[in-house]
Amino acid sequence: MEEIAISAEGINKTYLDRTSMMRWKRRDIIKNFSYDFISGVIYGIIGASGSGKTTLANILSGFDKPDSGSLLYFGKPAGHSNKKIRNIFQDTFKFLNPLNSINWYIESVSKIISDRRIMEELLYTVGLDPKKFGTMEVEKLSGGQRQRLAFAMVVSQNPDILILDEPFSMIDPPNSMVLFSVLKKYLKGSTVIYIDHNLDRVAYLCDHVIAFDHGNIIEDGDTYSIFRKPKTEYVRKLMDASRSISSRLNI
Amino acid sequence: MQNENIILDARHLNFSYPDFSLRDINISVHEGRIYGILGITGCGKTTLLNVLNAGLKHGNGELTWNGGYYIDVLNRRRPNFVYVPQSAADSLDTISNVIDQIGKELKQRNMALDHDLLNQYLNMLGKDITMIKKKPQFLSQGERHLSVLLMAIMMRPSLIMMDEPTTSLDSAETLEFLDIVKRMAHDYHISFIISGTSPEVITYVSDFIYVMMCGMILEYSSTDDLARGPLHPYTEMILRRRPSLNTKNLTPFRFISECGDGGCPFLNYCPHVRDECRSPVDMFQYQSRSVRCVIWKR
Repeated sequence: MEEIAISAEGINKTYLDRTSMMRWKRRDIIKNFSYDFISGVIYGIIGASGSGKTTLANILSGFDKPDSGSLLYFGKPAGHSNKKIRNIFQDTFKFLNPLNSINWYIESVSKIISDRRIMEELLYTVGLDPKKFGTMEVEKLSGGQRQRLAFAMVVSQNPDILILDEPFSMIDPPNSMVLFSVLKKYLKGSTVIYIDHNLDRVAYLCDHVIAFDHGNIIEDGDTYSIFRKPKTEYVRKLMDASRSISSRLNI
Repeated sequence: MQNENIILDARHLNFSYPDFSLRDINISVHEGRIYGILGITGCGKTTLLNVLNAGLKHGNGELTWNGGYYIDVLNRRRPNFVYVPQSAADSLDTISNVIDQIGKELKQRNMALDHDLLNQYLNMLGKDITMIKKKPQFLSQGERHLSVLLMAIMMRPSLIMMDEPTTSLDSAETLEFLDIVKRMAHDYHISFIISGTSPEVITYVSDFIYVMMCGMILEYSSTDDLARGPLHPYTEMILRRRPSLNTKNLTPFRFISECGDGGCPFLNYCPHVRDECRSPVDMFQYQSRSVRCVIWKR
């Protein structure tokens, strides 16, 4: 039987919106989310903007606490698991210190991993040659370069679970295709949860797709079946829009 | 294509930062047309828009502007165009509602808020007036982008330049936004320059495309020609090697980050590279298209 990497059960998350001076309105972001993420599968989560994808990523990676529900990583609660869980978010300043150089990050990552050459090799493949960029500080890097540095740092640690929330939003399509293939090459056997509103990228990378709307799973299946035959109106609308936008290219 | 319809003409534009430069940019914009600037990240799209924005404001010998002028509050004569930077939709003021912000922007241009025109545009967007009576933080991401577009067209410009307008929208919102842009250009004869990294978005919305890399324009042609048969190997790579369901088994290129010194910027990655590529390459004309590649030299 397959091993379950993350088991989420009955996750709820509610935010309070201020509507006037004294009045607050409840906004349910995630409602009764239960799902078993199977080890070794690349999952893609799609949905319209505002559907709660980012909140889910925050909860799964432990950045945010759910109001109720339980999360088990390989059968153990967070903090008792010896598995490596890593994430890359859209906003890389969340975990990169602007004053440290790339060499500093190579040093600190190589204390954790067995072979420091993996990190250098990865940096080279993603276009940040340590010989050339090593002394650059993070604040001098562009948004896309920071996302690539974060990518190399995280992938070189070979995590068991990797949660990606629009990690390549500032990287163009041909180059992100390179990063996806690097991801597949280095992370064999890891569970990856990939979140993006660009359906083409999800289709390219993922084995299994979960469609998400207002905190509920509305469709769930392997990539080909979801993309070829969407069952719900909501998913069909997103697919059709994406297909019309690329219509002039598919001659 | 008649001469009087050209509203912006840039000839041999050069610009440099310490570590980046735009070289020999030629761009002309016709009335009511949509122009796309396509290129990988860091190719100089935003720099080019910034240079056009600044150059138009202060007057520049190589930039010709025929798009009309307006008089601002300080009685200065200013060219009638709008530049919408990438983060515009996220930098709306959160303490006042959208309609007040539109009024405030119009005041800068000595214009009063024309409610008939506003209703007409809202009709076209398919939105209600209640949308712009809200504060921006209560709007969805797509509505915020539409508000910014509405703000731009309420100034009645002849040209709107937008830097990656759809990167944070989902596919349904992107399609809605792009359709509105197309209708604006068609019905109200507003020209657009739209930059982006996504070949899907740029080919969908634009009539003509400039393909850029390392601060140079490598190819220019109409969108139909470009989508049917790209001339430059770089354009070919951008249009064909994009992640999608159909390219799942395609092996990607190497990571593209450096520019060739002096010669063609794509030479380190190009499958057709030859000796001539190492020295500066000129623009060649091929039918009504131009391409900066020695393959098309005659």
